Amino acid sequence: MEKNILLRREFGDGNYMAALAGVHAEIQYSMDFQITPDTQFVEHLFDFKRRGILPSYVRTQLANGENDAFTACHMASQCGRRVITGSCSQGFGFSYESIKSLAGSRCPVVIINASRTTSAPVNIHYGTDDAYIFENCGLITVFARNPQEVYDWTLLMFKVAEDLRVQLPVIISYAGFDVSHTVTGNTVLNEEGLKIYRKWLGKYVRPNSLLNPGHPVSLGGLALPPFHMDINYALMKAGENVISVTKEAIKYFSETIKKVPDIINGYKTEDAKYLVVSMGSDFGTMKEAVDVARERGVKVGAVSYAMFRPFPVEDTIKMLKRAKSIAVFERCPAYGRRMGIFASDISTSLSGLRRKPPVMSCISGLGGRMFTVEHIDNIIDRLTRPDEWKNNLRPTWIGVNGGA
Amino acid sequence: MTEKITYFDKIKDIDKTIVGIWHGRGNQGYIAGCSILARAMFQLEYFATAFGFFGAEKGGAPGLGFNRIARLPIEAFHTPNRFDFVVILDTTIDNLTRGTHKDTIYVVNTSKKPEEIARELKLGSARVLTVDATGIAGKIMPAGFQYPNTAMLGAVIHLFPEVTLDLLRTEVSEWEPFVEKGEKVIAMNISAVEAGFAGTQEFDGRGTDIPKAEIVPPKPVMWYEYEPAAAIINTGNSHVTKTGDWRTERPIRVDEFIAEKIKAGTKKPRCIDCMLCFQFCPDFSIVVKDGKIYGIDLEHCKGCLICHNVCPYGAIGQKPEAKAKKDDAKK
Repeated sequence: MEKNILLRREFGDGNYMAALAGVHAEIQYSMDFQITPDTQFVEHLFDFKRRGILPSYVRTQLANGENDAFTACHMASQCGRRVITGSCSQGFGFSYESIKSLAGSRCPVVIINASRTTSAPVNIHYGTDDAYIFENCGLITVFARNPQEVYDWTLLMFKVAEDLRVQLPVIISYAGFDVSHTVTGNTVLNEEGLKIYRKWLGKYVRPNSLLNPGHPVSLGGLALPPFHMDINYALMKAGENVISVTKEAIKYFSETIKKVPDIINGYKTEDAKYLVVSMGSDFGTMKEAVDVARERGVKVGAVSYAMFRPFPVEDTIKMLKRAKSIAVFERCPAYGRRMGIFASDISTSLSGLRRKPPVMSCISGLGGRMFTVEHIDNIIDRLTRPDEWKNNLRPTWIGVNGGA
Repeated sequence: MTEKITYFDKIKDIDKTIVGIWHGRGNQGYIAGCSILARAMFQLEYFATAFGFFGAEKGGAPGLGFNRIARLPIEAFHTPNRFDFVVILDTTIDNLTRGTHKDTIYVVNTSKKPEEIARELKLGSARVLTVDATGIAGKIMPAGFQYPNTAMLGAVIHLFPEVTLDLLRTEVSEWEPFVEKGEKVIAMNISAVEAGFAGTQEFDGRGTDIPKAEIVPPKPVMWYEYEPAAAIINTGNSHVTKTGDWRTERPIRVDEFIAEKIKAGTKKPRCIDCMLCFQFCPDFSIVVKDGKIYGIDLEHCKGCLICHNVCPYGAIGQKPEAKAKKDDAKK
């Protein structure tokens, strides 16, 4: 554990760390609605308010439904308030309209997502299909692998989202139950560390706020064909700044306060011929499988993506181009497409290379289904024979009873 | 037992992660139990995680808690399937030996002797610790709040010599939900911890012939065997699923209780068959025959006591399920 004068130790689970990060980042507004496994994030946040840890000017409100919650957060952000909120699964589905509008309205709201599989059929366990709902909406999406990273990424992303070159909403996604309800020891900022962090983060200054009588503006307008595409282009261009701004934030935070994870993290990738790629808390299982396969003599490495949107194309090319073949695991189903969404992103990023490594798309762990080191080891074995699968027309599903 | 028997001593010399599972029922506090243990490990500069796998969201429904303890940062967050220690808060739960191996250690909440319970539950030739956590909680805590988790923790720390009784006392007194409830609650839990620690008994079953319960995994359902949209096409499913063992309070028909006095004419029957209990019971567990209330279906009644609360004539009372079972056994 680090012995650092800016840090102290705190014991809590993913939901608690997310709420604590919101408190440390000095949020000013939150309207939430509860949904398993996100409920405890809402409870902890409201508890901080009740105990006076969140100062009295911070408004925390319970909504009538996620749609109301996100609409209110949208308004609060347009009034220049720093906002955190959270939901998952059906809550995201219910408030698709409100959440997508956050991007076009350039509201840097931080959305905590204790990831849960979407219906139908109903399920409460971990699956990333809710984080993927907004994969093409202009929101930043990062995946945290454990409660510590939930805290770290939330603190970083307030800075990145509010940067004037970015101004986009962020989804911090982490496994429902596996991370959200797992209590573990973490390091958080103490009084000294908070002073430095808050000085760097600064106040949220919205360029055009609804509540500035000296500078009245109208927001949320209609954009007809002569205007819409260009406004959207500006939104897309802001997305292009996200990765460089995030790297600046990571650099400052790591050098000044404590080490935080990178946008893409690797394990034994330096001499790896084959790579297994995943996002989120599956990385622990991937590492175990890599060690097992290396004992057999297979030079495999594991890669974990923290940033999913915007997709780090250049970093992908740098890190993955030397592999002979790559297996990509994701916990979201792929329907009617050749590869899963994450696997497609990787495959298309590498598509310009003269020798493009074949990419095996694997769909695993849906609805919280157990997926083990043996499953991954099996796939690593198949990676050594790309001719067997590189012409597959659909992804491989792992752990299905009687199917593959 | 006053001396510590060392089991997982020197975790810092072990490269692997120690994984434990807690079997408990809702309202027994298994999540708080495994979390406090993880927190104690955290104070000792080990890495530890604690999480649960919940059953139905009701007191009495069986659920699981997990611990991972290691000297290196823990990166595995999936549900484990191989356990080095098993904490059993309720011996009526199924599949207690799942995921165990020859060196697994059991800590069981029972008033029976360790060898006896090892044979009864078919734990195999393993080391078994027992403590009467329910009994301890019953003596120290008021009715309705008798959580066996802290007494169990007093026994569990025998497995980890580095977790001293003092450390556990500190952890329990700093556990947030206890702090919110006040000094009296903390004091009760600390007494429970101390009583659990002192009252632990040990049995080394290795080399004995105690049979081990084989876990038969359920046959997996093939993907093509499901109806489209996973529609459930047969009827009577709730009837087949027996939820009666979730009950922690049993509703008792008062008229059955005072049946002799009614016959003798000294008391009038309270129930007038108004059928309110039948209408309000969420589990269809009030049995009606020939237009009269016949009884309560104990195989399905989950003990929510809505019938007791809704009856205008006080014809349904309640009794703690453990006591009711004991009284049934006596009859």
